[in-house]
Amino acid sequence: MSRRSKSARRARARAAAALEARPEWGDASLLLDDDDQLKRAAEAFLAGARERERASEMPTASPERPVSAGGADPVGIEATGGDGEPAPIGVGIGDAGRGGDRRERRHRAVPGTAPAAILDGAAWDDVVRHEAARWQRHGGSVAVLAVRLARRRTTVSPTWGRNEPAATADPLSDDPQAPARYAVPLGDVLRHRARASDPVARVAEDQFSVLLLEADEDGASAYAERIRAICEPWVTAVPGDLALRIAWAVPALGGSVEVAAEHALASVGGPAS
Amino acid sequence: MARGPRDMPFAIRTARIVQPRGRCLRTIAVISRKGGSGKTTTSVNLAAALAERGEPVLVIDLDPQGSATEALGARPAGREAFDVMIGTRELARSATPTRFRDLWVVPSSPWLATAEQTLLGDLTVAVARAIQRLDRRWAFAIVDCPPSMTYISVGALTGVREVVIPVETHAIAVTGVAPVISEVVRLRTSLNPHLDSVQIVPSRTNRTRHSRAIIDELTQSYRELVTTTRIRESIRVPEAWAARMPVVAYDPTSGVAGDFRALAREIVDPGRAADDGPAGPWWRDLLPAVGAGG
Repeated sequence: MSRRSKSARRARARAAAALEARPEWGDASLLLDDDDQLKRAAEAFLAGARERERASEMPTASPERPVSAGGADPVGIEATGGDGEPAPIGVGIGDAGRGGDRRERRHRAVPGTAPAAILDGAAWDDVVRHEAARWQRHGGSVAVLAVRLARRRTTVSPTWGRNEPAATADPLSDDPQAPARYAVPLGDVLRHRARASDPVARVAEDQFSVLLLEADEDGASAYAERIRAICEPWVTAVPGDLALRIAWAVPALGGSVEVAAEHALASVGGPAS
Repeated sequence: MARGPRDMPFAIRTARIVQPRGRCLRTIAVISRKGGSGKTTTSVNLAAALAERGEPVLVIDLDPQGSATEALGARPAGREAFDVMIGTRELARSATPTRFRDLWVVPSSPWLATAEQTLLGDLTVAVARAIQRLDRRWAFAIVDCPPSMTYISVGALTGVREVVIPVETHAIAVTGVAPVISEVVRLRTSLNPHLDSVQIVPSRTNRTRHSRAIIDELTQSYRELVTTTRIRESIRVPEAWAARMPVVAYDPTSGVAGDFRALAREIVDPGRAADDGPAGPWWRDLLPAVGAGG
């Protein structure tokens, strides 16, 4: 037996012993000979590494100082809906836009921007609190973006205001599957278009928040514009009066991330004009 | 508070470096998650210092930016060069000699960035196999990796047997060491059981107390994984870069050139770190359960 095969045999024996100690790791030595197994293992490893990288980028500090009031004025973008066919279920709403499909495919092809799970409200509060503490200490650029699928209450109706609001269509209340149909694809777009390190949270049934780390006002504006460009064709295709409201806020000097987050949420939470 | 080495998911204890025995090709990946930590500078100048000792060295530039290629005065490769690598799993065909003796380079190509998005896991396999199949005409193959965990990086780490992590002596850089070590340990258990050595090289050091404190912290946290050689910050490095030369060739008498020669010496002969006791696998103390099994 050659020296090389002896070495390989010893390596396999060591790996087998390690596998016996920790069976959940899998048999590493077997991967060396098979390209397909190596490919699958490498892809799984990289996916895990990116998930761990994203998790490790979450600040771990607790706020030690109370945050102060402040915040910049948010700017809203609104795309309003009209009559038309709804977007098919299961198709990303980014696929409906003019040029949006190309951008969406390109985005999905970038391995470094693998989307993470959407946070819930409690996790969002934690993330904002930690980021507020970090920002208070170290400063830097951060922006908070809020998105809401809202009903338009003031529409030009064929009744000229009579018999309101019964004459106004309400897709979110009429359709019990509306949150799954409209909010879930919206969440997918938000997290696909955000960087992997930017937390995306669904803070209410029809409301999302995104923490844009290392993004200034221009970055937030560009992100909001991308979301609008992707969603506008889809929103206009939804029957009834549906509006997509987007607002962002950046913490001002002496302010805090938490106030900016509240400001952004308040800006989209009210009735649409 | 920033996440530090002590927050790692496993216990850091004394780790030892295994010195490969006998004359063979040593494959070393230079990785770091942080940009500007000195990956390319370390790759190029370590390779040049090793070549100066008479060891034939191959620098494999896998960073799509192609900085190592430029630093060695070579021209970036086209897509064809890497098509050959993907198809044949051989890097030797793409290797070109530089104007420095015993120093060869596999030039980078901007196409690698595209390949990263299209080939995905196939690129990992191709890179790993190409490194594993390098012939023995070179004594060292030094792989300059991209500054993030990508398919290329994973392929390089799967193919090599040693890893060098340059760490800038700055508080920002230190927090990035633990995740890299942790990923390397995980990769060793899942993809490359032959990964024998990890070395942390403090780079861009200066005389400030902060720099010394960072080196102390690294030494306390990672013990023998930290090399005794520190690479100082010097204006000679960017000057050499501008001249498209390794600093050991640009200004052989400079202090930083001496640092890289010392690093080359330490890599060729790890020295005292392995003399404290019987050498064992470096990962044994990082993952005690593996040590119990192996």
